Amino acid sequence: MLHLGLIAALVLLQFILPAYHHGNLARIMVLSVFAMGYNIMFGYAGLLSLGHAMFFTAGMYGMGLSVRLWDIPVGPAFVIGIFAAAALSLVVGLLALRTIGVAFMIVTLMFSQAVFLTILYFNPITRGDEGFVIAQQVRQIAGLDLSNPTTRYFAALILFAICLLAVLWLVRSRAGRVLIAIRENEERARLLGYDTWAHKLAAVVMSGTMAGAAGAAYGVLFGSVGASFAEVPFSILPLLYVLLGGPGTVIGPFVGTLFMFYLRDLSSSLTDAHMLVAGVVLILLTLFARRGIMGIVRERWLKWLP
Amino acid sequence: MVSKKISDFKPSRRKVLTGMAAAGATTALPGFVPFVQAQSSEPIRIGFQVHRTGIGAAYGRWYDRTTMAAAPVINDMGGLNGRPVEIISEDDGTDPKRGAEVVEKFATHHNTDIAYGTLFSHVVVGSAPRAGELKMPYFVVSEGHHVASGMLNRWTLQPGITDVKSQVQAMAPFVADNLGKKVTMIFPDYAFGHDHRDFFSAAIEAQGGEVIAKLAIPPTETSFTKYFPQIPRETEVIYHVMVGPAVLTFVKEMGEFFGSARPEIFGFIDSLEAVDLATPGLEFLEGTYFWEGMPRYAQENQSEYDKFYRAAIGVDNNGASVSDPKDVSTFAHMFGCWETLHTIKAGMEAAGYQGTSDRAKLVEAVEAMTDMAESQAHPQGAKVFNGKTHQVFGPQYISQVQDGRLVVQHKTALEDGFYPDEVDYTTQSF
Amino acid sequence: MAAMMLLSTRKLSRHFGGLRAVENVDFDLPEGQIRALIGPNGAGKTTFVSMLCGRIPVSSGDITFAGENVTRLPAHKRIQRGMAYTFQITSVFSDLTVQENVALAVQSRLERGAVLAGEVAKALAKVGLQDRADQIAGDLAYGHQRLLEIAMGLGQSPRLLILDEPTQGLSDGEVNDFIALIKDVAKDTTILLIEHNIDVVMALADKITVMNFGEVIAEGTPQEIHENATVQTAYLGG
Repeated sequence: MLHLGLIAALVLLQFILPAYHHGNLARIMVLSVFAMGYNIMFGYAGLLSLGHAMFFTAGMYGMGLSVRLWDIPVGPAFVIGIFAAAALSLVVGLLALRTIGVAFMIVTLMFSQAVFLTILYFNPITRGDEGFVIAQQVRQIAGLDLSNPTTRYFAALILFAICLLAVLWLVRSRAGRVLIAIRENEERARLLGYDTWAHKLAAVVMSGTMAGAAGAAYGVLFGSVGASFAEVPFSILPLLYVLLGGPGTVIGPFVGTLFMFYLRDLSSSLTDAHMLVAGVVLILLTLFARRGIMGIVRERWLKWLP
Repeated sequence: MVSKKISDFKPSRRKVLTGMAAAGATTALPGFVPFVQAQSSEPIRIGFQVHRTGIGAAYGRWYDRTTMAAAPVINDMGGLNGRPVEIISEDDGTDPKRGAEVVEKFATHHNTDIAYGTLFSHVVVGSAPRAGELKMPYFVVSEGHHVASGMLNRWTLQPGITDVKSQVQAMAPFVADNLGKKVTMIFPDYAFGHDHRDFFSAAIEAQGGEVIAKLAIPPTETSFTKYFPQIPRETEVIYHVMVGPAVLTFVKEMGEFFGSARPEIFGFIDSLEAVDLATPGLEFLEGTYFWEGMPRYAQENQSEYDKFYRAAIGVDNNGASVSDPKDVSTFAHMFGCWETLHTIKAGMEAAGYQGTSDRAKLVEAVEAMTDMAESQAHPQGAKVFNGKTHQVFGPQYISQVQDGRLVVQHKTALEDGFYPDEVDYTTQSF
Repeated sequence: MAAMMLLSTRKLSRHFGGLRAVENVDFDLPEGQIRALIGPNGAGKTTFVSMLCGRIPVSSGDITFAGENVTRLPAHKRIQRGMAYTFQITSVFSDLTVQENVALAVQSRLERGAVLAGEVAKALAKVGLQDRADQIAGDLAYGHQRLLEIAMGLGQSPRLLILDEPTQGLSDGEVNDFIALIKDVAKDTTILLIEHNIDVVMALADKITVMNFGEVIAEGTPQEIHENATVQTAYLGG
């Protein structure tokens, strides 16, 4: 109910928001899909990845290169981007899940760095760090111009709604409960008869694929593809979003993304040290609000919140 | 005096609420809320996308100072069509994602007339699509080839600084004639370095020379000793274009490798912008050559425009801040901000620019420009603007390090930097 | 061999570096029995049962469960074949409710769509935690957490229930309830019990296996073990 309400509210906001915030919200929805993907791994399965930028970029470049190299329309190219992210997350999952804890964090970080360097290495194809543009005239699906603000907003909203409901379905499913069990105590989950490794692999693939969908959508909706999305800070970003919004809550990633976006937007008008502001927020969170905004809401008021 | 009126434009709650109410009545079509035509004394608002943080911060600081110095000069000259210019700065963190957001913020929140000032190529590439969609004239000061390559759009222009293709190409005759024909290139292994590699290889061949080795250095590299042995013995010239904090190590290790018997060395000053040449470790550069967009050290034949320009920004004859000689400017690039703002002024006047509905007219007026004489508005030198490719062409300077100062040896002709058009933006609709 | 052997090991060994934690253990547990496994601290009991359920890999030897060699099977597959293991140190999901804990145990064996709630309630009722179903497991008293641990074992309705020191930390009254509970469960479940409380062992065990220094040193009825000189030495002298 709450989640359908959020979707309805977002539909309504399309009609009443001033242009600036309207544009921001479209962006926030796409970025929160990235965060929701991250949350599947971190918030539910308890796997802390420091390399999620690679999945976002896999989707972005899977889509972008399809358009750039083979002139594939953005619709099919978007799907190719999602498949690219799914394939990458499967490979990374198979290899990285041989490790746990800090080693897992480092392995994901290294993989992500490898993806970044690969993009630079294939400069003639990818235009390296400079990136490339998805021209406005090709950014159309079924005759709808995705560079038009209204269309863009609804495209972002549809993606967001699908992912939100998918996560909701997941956490209410058997598999979702097992992920939580793995997060809480993997050994115990294994000795209740669950193939925890397979569940974790599935979580990595779902998480990576969703991050890739966000990356592909970002390229399609905002028209540029670039290697900076593969850099380390872009892997930290979804972690911040999720920590702030509430790990292991369905709606938390959206709330966290929304807060962080405006925190950055406002703080960078007031001070150059917007990264410092983000850092302080992170420290305060880990010290005083480990469960994030929606985690606290759940603890205090809405115990049923998934 | 111009102020950065950032605090006035915070989205206050009231503003959001009234905005919501107003929008509710009109079922708000998105995009930018049409700018209500201001009275003619209202300032022209220029959104300045500045690299205040991130990897471009050193450049951004001086782009900022140059911009803030140019604005009052322009206002003293009567402003833009009699209206004062107001600079609205937003930090983009040298990040393409934030860059695109900042362009949106200019268009839909600050309601600026134009956006301006971006340096780093990846930020331009990330931001330009949004500028095009928002139909916001976007004046970049990037020296990237992205504008002239045709990758961007009709709304994006680079009238104040030459592009890397033109710069590199113009170096080849001097290098071949004075330094040597067998060149080894050392460059960072990413887009900027690859541009140098590709453009220079072609240009030196046209001069009868050749690049005999290409050493691409991974961007993560911190030590270079293992690369120097790959330099062929018959190398006559080393062409280097290392950027970033590793440059000091690079120069020091190159000095240790060659000792006193070195080939000729030619580099791009990009690596040493905002770096004091008297920094310990850079002694090895004595006698080597550099490309400079504009001479950092005031030369003997300094023009009155150069003198005026330095004084306005507060830069001394060594290219450092008058208040702190250790604070070295990005002198070879930042003139682009000054000149771009003057070109915007000229364009707005030619277009009879009144407000945002005249944005397309402004672009057309700039496209119609050709010659730009050396003047107070163009202290770096006379230029030619190519309206089809949206790119300006100008002189380049080649200087030698002598007693720790850069002394100009050669100023290239405009023609040295010309190349066939790769795009005609004027055929694109607005 | 009158009854069918549910679980057997042959020459089962586990070495940690030079330490022989378990050495060449041959062990047979017939279906339907309550077997107690006793021995001094460090005798290798927990290592032994950990190998049975797959928590730790074997160094050498074989494990047969219900007629199948399970030595190389991962833990979750052994559990799916009907083993259940309750931890010596309580290992419940402390951030989840009591009910969710048991549900996780129950759903691992249920077909998709089958009704969980009834099975969960049944398991909770057996250990007497039905009134605390909605409490957060981590908030329970220690004794109740032990009971929850057992309820999770029961929820799996295993063929073999391995209980690792289940009465540790329980009050006398709780221990008596526990004995009654296990007697009831044993009607349709084979039980392997590691236990220090000798009264519990005597009250429950059909047969006792004694380990010391990683080896089985004696096996027999409670009466036989009680009279066995080697066992006495192990406990008193060893």
